[in-house]
Amino acid sequence: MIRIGALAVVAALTLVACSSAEEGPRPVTNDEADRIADTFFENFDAGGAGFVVRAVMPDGQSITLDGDVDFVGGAGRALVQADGDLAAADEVAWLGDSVLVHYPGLPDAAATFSRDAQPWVGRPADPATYDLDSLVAVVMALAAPQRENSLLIQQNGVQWLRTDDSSGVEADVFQYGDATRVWLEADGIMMMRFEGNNSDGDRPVVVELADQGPRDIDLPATPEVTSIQDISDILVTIE
Amino acid sequence: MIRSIAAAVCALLASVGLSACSSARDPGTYAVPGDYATVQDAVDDAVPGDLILISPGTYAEEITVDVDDVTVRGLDRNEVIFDGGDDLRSAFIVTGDGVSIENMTVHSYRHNGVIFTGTGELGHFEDDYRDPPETEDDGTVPHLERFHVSYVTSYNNGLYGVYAFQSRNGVIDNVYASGHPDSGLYVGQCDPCNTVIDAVTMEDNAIGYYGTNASGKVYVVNSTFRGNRLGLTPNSQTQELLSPQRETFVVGNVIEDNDNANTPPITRGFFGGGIAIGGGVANYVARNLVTGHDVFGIGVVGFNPFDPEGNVVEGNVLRDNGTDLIYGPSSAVSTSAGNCFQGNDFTTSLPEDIETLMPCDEQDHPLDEVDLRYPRDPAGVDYRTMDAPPAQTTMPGDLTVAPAPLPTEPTFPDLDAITVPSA
Repeated sequence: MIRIGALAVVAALTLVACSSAEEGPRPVTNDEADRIADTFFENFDAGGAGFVVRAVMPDGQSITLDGDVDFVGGAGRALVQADGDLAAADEVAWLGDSVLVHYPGLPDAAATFSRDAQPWVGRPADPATYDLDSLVAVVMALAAPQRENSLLIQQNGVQWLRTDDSSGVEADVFQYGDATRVWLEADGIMMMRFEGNNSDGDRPVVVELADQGPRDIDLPATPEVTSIQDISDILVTIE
Repeated sequence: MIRSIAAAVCALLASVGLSACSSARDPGTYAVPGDYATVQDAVDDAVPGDLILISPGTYAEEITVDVDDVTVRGLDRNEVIFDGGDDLRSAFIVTGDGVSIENMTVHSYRHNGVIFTGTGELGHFEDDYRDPPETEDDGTVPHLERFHVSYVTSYNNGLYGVYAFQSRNGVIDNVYASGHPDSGLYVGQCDPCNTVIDAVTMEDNAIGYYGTNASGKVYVVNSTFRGNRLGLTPNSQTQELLSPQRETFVVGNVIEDNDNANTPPITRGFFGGGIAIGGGVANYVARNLVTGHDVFGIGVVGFNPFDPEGNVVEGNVLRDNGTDLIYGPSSAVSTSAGNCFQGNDFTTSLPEDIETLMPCDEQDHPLDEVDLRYPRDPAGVDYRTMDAPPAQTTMPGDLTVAPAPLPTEPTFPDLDAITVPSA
């Protein structure tokens, strides 16, 4: 109710999986704890970022989101590539508690029922119901308007795992609990990658962040959006 | 062996009239700048009993105090300024027992203005590793003993204005803190804390006072919590050791208008309450003046996974709050659970007629579930852009006189002598 740290939110969304430490793990140093304490705030302070999310959902559906997020404004927009239920969607946008999903085939599907529909479907965000929304929530949880408490980061057993330069930039890899991991640029506080699993433990979620800085998200205009309650019967025909 | 040789050399020097062994010197009073160029230099050379006096000026230092029984005092609260430049971590990181920080201003540190921590080496800046705190054989954690913060102004730091972690037998008085995206004042993870917070003013923070797992004789008295997002909250959390929180006495405070959106936001924080007992046990909230909160004046509420038990709310004066008194445990609790309300001057409550339903008669009363809905917290402002506070009252008395060592236990306030304050 009163306060949940960003790390706790991320941990809650992303519990437990494999551990394949190449070096380490070892407790984080004071300096490393300070870097971790700052990294979520740093994302917020930067304003936004480019991101790519790769996730596998409970039914085996793969989802990739590739776009930009405005952490401060609570908005984002990304291209969607997915199989399964989301295969008919090709883009998602969000602002605050509203999510918009773009279905390019929706106007034609509606026309077969002699109905009109815009390709964007708007609805309240509901991470507990929609996989897409849960991934948006993970992205948004990677920024916080305050720093974390480095005392508690150390006390709660965050570990340094190893260095990693697989992306071409050297990074330190830190681990929370059994599986949740973040990549910070070597000796810096910029978050490069977040990796974890959703709460059932078998849904890997990887978020790569790049080019942190202000973002001005171009959201679909109202005339382009159909409310979900007006189109849900048609929507099920293309999902 | 080395120590014994050194001691022998010192003894020889002393025997021929020379005194070259600084570790054996008597405590004294030292000036910065003057006797030492920096405060850290003075602290590094200090012995227990030293008084370090700081002249007016702006200092860009982060200082580790690991010596016991030292007093660091500014000569002018408003003109002795430690400026972290939004880069340095904390102005003072105290790991020694019996340390006093007095009469100065600290601001714009990335983490804390002043922190006392009983976690040993944590807080040093060497690149050392640190394991989680060792527990003593009796299951407790080792605490920093005896601390004092007095006449300190702390503003626009990235976490807390003044922070006492795993520390006990302390006094925090006449402190002013504003502009923090967490809390102006934080006492956490201590048992028994034996800590007195007296005559402090917390304004324009996300939270005025935060007391996570701070248990055993915590007194919050005669203070003002104004214009924060949440006034003050003794609370229990699993993220820290020593849960659940219990036994904080909140008495005789002015708690007003803690629904200020022009403040730094805490992540997913509560907005619009005066006093929130969040899953705490056996707290005593009495004779406070609680006014002008959008959501509630005093709330005794569940804070996952903890539910409140045995808290007493009595004799408070509540005005112009969305709801004056609230009892809202989790849905798993269907009784008063020893929590009670009596003798308050109020208008609204949830449940209605709260003093009839939850009297202080040491009985457990069945209750219907209350459906509490809290509003989403507004976005807020960057803590680094908050205005500096106005000049504050400087420390009285002859500042050049070294204080007596801090006592083993502080003097606790006489709660019976504290009445409801005027606005």
